[in-house]
Amino acid sequence: MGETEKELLGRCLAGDNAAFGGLVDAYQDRLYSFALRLLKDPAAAEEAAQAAFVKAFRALPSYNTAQPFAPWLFRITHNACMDALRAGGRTVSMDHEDFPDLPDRAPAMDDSLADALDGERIEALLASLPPIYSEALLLQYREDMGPADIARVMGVPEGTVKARLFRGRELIKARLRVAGATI
Amino acid sequence: MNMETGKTDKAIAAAIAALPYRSPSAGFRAGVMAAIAAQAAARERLGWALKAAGAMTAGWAALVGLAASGPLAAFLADYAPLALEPGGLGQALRLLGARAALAAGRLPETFGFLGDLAGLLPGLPPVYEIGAAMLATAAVIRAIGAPARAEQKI
Repeated sequence: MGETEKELLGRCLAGDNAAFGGLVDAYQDRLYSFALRLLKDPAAAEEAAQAAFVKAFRALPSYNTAQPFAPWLFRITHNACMDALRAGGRTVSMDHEDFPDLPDRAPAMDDSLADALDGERIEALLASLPPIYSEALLLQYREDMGPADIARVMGVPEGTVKARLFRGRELIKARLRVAGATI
Repeated sequence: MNMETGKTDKAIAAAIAALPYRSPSAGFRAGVMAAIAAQAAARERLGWALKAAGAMTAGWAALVGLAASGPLAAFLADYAPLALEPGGLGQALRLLGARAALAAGRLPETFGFLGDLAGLLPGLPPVYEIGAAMLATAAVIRAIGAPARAEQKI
């Protein structure tokens, strides 16, 4: 049976650098996928995930073991991705919210549209959203984090996270409706 | 929230939750571990450098202390008996002032010697300049020619 995350962290904090390899194994796919879905570029995502692991290793002595590890690690990855987006000339709304145009009264959605939400389609829909919405949705549904942890990762208040989740879902629905209307 | 909205929200949540994780390239883990090892080695080197600097400073302090102990003992032997006598402290201070004035009087002489030494520099044979230039060039070539490490990418 492999070591638990807590055991690996304990060994890392005790100065065993090799134990960090176990944490890399446990999180590399999650962090890389998260970065890839935000940056939409495999090379940039790999670089951001690698930088996040190295920064996490350096910052490990300051990690509070009473807090869950995953949000702390995702917070570092979030920062690495935001740096990459800024370096690539993309503007990332951090201080204020973008208010995308949403219809006031949405027409009823065909059930078949929701049923047809397969992996490929949701991947494309997430990629079409501004990063602040896709990130919140990914952290909640793919990484199973609550609003408090997402707020810690994104560095915004919990209320903002809830608003982003709501708007993200509404944007997806609006795009599904448009897609349904054009079919 | 009406039923239709609830159903769509659930469908969105389920679709996102079912998204597969992607794997980075094969060398990803090795790259991270190499960067970490380089960082740990750099931290260790810094620790050794600090220890060496500390040891050197302590060594110099001990040497200075040792060298100064003789003159200090002589100084105390000269002035302590005088200072311990009634009204001797003022006398000892006056004596110290006189010695300081004597030393200050020698300062122009010292500066003159340093000036003479500086005046000699342009007259040094060119072989020293060539030697110094060779050393500087070798240092620059070594610094530029050192192979960059792959792990320094991050």
